[in-house]
Amino acid sequence: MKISNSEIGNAAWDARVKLTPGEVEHLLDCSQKILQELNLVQKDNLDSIKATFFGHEQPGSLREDIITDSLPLAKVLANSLYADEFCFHVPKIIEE
Amino acid sequence: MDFYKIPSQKLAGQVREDPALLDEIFAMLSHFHNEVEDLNIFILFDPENIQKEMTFLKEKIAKGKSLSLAGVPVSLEDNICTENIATTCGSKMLSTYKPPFNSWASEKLQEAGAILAGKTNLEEFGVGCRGNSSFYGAAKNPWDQQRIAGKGAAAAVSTLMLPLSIATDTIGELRQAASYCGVIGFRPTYGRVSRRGVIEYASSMAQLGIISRKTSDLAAALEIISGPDPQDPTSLKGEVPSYRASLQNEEKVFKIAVPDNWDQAPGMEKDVKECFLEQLHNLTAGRVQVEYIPLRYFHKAYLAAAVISAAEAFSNLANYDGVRFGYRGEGKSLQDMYIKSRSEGFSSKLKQFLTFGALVSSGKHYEDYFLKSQRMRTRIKNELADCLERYDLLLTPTTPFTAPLAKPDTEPDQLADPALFYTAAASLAGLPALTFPLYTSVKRPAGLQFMGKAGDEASLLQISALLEERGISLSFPNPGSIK
Repeated sequence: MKISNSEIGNAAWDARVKLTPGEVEHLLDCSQKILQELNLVQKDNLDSIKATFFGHEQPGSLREDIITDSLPLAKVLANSLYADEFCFHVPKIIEE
Repeated sequence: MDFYKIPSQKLAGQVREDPALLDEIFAMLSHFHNEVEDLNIFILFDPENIQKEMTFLKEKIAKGKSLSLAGVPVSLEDNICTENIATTCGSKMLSTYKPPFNSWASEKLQEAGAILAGKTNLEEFGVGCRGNSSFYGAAKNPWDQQRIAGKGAAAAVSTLMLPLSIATDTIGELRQAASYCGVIGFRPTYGRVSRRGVIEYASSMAQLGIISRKTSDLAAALEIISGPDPQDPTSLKGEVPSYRASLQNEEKVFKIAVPDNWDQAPGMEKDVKECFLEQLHNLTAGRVQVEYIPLRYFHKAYLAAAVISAAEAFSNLANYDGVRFGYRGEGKSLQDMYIKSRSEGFSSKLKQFLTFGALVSSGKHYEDYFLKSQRMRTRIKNELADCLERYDLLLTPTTPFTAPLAKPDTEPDQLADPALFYTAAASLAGLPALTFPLYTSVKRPAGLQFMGKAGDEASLLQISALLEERGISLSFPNPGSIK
């Protein structure tokens, strides 16, 4: 399967980053290479194998909800450069 | 007092007896820091904070608190949250970030009386080990400053400045850096140490690890930071074994397997190969039996890990958008601001990595690449489990090569870095692994990597202690000669 320039462009949009033409070219080359190697790996029939998503399964690993106090508002907002004492500020959401 | 020569437990005992020693430790840390400043080990070294911690520690000692690491200086990697102390992840994106909470590891170390000596340098968000993406520049290797250290944490221990450093190991970055810098690097079983407060990029593999020069120091630190954490659902339940006591087992015979195709890594250096073979020969005596075994899938681990880690990073790092914390680029609209913040706040390498993650997570490629990589992960995990049923440990080199030369920031990386060739499998399978230093004929360190059964950290510590006892260890670079 070949990766196209536009697929890289779409993926960059999904990742919310802008790539330079040089970065696109390099990424295209690298992606192609790694996906080709993976294709070789896939000569082994993997369809019947169950996927592993964690190193080891921990059944029932989700704990009960514990209700705790929220962080104080001042602490929550302290790391944003664009906030007043109540909320974060962002540019307008509806584009012109 | 040359405190770096003293085992941590002994040093802690001396500090408890005589808290005035803390002043000497402070003077020594400041001296060392001046000596190694050019190596770019620390993103934050704050003498004022160290003194504050020491004053607080003196009060705790006076109250008679039991502090097993009293006065022992320890560093945390700069992706481990420390309350109100900058935690940058080596990224412009978080260069102003001060977490409003502490990580599990920093809490536990503080409770044990350890002194936070500084926050160490790392690749941006801990991705990779090539020395070309930290916003603060690469940490240099104490053995040869033209080469990379991989992580500031490994360099800090290698220079003798610190006895212990805590850092993250996702696909093996900690083990690689330890190998490049000639120190012991340890990755516990997945979940052994809580990841609460660790800013990680691939949650299914990330684990906090320890870098040290002495096995006994490593065992002591592991006991402190291990344990179940109700706030991390992936942390292992059950009691933490006494790792220090496990070092007393001097009768154990080790049955060790080596993959018969161990030398097939891309870019394998001749020196590393020869050095590994020589150590294999030296190992096979007395309490150690070594056998070659066929492993069919092990060498594919680094490809699967590259795909899985990129997909997880794409998701994990999605919240860095310039709104709640971190760098913000000016944009006309919200979307424009997101893109500018992330494009200006992340390095070129990270942008490409995240884009690759988005690509393999996309509808078109998810099934063929991401899901198949996870299936390959099952095969690797089963293969390792089967091997470790029959053998105590699996042994390989840690990396195919010694520390690479530093390259310019602009030189692009490979997505599946051959440096991950040996380390990725343990990460995919959640197994504990340890790298022990070797010394190649070109006078650069390399490493022996041992992998153990899930939950069996003790065997790894025991083999490390045995190698120490046999004198297979390095003469560390003289701190006075670093400049």
